[in-house]
Amino acid sequence: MRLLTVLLCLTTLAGCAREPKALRVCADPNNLPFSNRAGEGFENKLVELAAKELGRKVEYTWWAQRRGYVRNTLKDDRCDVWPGVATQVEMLATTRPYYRSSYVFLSRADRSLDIRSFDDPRLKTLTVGVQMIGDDAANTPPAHALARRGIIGNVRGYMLYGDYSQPNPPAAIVQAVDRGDIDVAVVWGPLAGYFASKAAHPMRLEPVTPWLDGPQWPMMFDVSMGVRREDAELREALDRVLERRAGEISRLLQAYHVPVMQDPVGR
Amino acid sequence: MRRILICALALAACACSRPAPTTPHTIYVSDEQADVIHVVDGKTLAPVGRIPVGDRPRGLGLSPDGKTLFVAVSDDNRIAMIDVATRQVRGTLDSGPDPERFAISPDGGMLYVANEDDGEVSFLQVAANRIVNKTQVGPEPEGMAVSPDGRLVICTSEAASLVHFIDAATGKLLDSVLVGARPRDAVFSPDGTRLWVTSESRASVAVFDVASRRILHTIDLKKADPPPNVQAVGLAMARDGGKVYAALGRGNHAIEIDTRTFEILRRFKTGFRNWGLGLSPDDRRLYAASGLSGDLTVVDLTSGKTIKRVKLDGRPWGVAVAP
Repeated sequence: MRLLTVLLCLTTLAGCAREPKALRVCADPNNLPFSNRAGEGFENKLVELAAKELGRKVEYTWWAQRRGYVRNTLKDDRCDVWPGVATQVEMLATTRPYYRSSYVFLSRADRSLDIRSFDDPRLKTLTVGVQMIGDDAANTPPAHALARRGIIGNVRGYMLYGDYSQPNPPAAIVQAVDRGDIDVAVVWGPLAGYFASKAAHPMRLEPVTPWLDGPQWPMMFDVSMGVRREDAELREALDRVLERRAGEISRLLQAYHVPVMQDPVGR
Repeated sequence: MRRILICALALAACACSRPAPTTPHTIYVSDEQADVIHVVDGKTLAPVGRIPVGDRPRGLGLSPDGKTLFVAVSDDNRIAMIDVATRQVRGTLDSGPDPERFAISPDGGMLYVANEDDGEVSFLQVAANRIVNKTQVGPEPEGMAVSPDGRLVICTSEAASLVHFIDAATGKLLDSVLVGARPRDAVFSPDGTRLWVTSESRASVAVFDVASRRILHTIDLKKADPPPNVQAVGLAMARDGGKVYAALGRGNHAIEIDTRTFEILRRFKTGFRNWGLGLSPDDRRLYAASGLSGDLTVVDLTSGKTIKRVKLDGRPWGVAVAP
């Protein structure tokens, strides 16, 4: 009897050793360049790298990034990590930032527009695309920056959440520039960089200025991995991975054409 | 025989390592729950008074002439002026909504107030009780500082992780720089060449070169053998600029940093959730206000020992020390 118990204990222990705790990640299955179900996004690659360093296997919960994402995923204990989140979010604990990017003006190179500022007078007459959340006050910072300059009638909104039946819905704004539907678009850097590199026409990207415009959110952000506030141990483990593998992560971002801001930039 | 006795007594006094004596001073501690300013005597370290100021006092600071203690009464949307001599509120200033922290111009004429709800810095002229200028900044402005020459105003946006450089003369926003998440407090070196900024959730301290407005160095507290739950919140600068002290929030400690080498020299245990710090006028004592344990830790900086934990009620927030 006692031997049986010992044996059971041994097999249990062995089982534990063979099956380390998974790194449970929540990610959007249809949101390149960040993530997709096929594992093609840079956030997919990042969590694989982190899991390898931690000696764990990645276990995904696929969840579309919409309102209520954190409530339905991490807070509901479906997963432990959100691989790409603005560093300053309050509802989660965040790791050290692994990149900093900015909204950019995106246009076709053959148009030679070279727009760099929201104060460029041509923005009043060109057809301008902008990423939008909705029509309410909680809109994206570039939508506010255009609206407060009276640039409204010639602006086309592209919903951040888009048509989810299409692949990578937020990419629609970049494709519109590529086709010539719009002259210029204000797009979050990683999205613009990745889809511009796949566009039919060569594209130009310029970080927006001013990147802090009025009493609201800036248009340049640090990005971290997010965990539940109480998961200090996991956060620290991820912090160490991000620091140790910084070179590799930087090359990863480069491969996805993410415009990375190296150092704090003046306005 | 008599001489011997005196010597023996003197030795005994030394042996029990009495904290170094300090010049007379008074410590004021804002209490965001009890809605008072606690008054603590610097000599006896006993609480000697409670000054009711209104709803949720947080940031506080002494006028350059030492006669007035200004207190941001956040939920009453005003700044209270306490007469230091009588310990009575002698008037209030209209600060704009939800003042959290403020900085006082070197001539004492202007308060630069962080209006947390509006994302603004208000330039409040003390004599006229009038807001003469406003600067729009990022969401949840909190940390405030003025350069020793009075020309530069600093504000940190807690929610957007920004440090704003504002021209004091015109109110123009000159520059904004991203720092670690949730920047809470800012302090200049006495010569005005360096600016120190704490980031609460990142648990880091950024050191700026003021002339170029760029980060020279960031001290990552998580790498420096940190206590559990380390954060970085309140700052206090020694008068000679040699050392700066940072409160570690829920890390329940305060640290001493060498301003030249950026090295952490010592760590002092405080109460729970240490937010505000103050130094005695001779820089020989550190006062640390802790909200969750409701106390003020007194550290003798000569010996590095805690000499008292002054029990206060409510939730102590900030510290100001008057000679």
